[in-house]
Amino acid sequence: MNNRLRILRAERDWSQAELADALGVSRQTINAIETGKYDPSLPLAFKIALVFERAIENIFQPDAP
Amino acid sequence: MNTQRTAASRRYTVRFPAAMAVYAMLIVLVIPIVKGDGPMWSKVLLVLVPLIPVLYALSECLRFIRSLDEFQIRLQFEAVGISAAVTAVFCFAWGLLEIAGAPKLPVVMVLPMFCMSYGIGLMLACRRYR
Repeated sequence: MNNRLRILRAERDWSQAELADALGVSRQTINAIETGKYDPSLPLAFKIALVFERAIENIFQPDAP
Repeated sequence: MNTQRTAASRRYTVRFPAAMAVYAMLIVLVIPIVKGDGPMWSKVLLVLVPLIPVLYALSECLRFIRSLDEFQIRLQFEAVGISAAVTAVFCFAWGLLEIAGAPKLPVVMVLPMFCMSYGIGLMLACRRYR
């Protein structure tokens, strides 16, 4: 799954640690999501969407077939 | 939530080593007594006393893991999986070697082996997701 987390975070000038704090997860988790090495659970994805005030599909997109 | 996790992490980094230190002290105290004379039932009871801090340390481990987020729990799961596999395969292989005449592997070595391979497993899991 691809995501725009890094771009959205940069737009708000947030550090990984700040985003991690807002989501209640570790900085390591944010890094793993941003680098595409870990796909978050649905509840965490919803939380991310809520923090960025975007629809989930605006942040996460499936891999091209 | 991160504050809770930090508190849980702090609690774990204090209580786990403390429990293991108590365990080590008890082992040093108990082993010479158990090797001496005395009724069998008292030796059995006494030799199991160091198990108390070990069980406490394991409960602290569990509490710490429950405080982690979903990604960190995945890392722990991979580490435990690697550790279980390494320990099981090593013990099985050693069991086969014993048939061929290798010295008996003390069962008491299994837990330290599990802990060591867990540490290595956690390092490998962290490296994979870096």
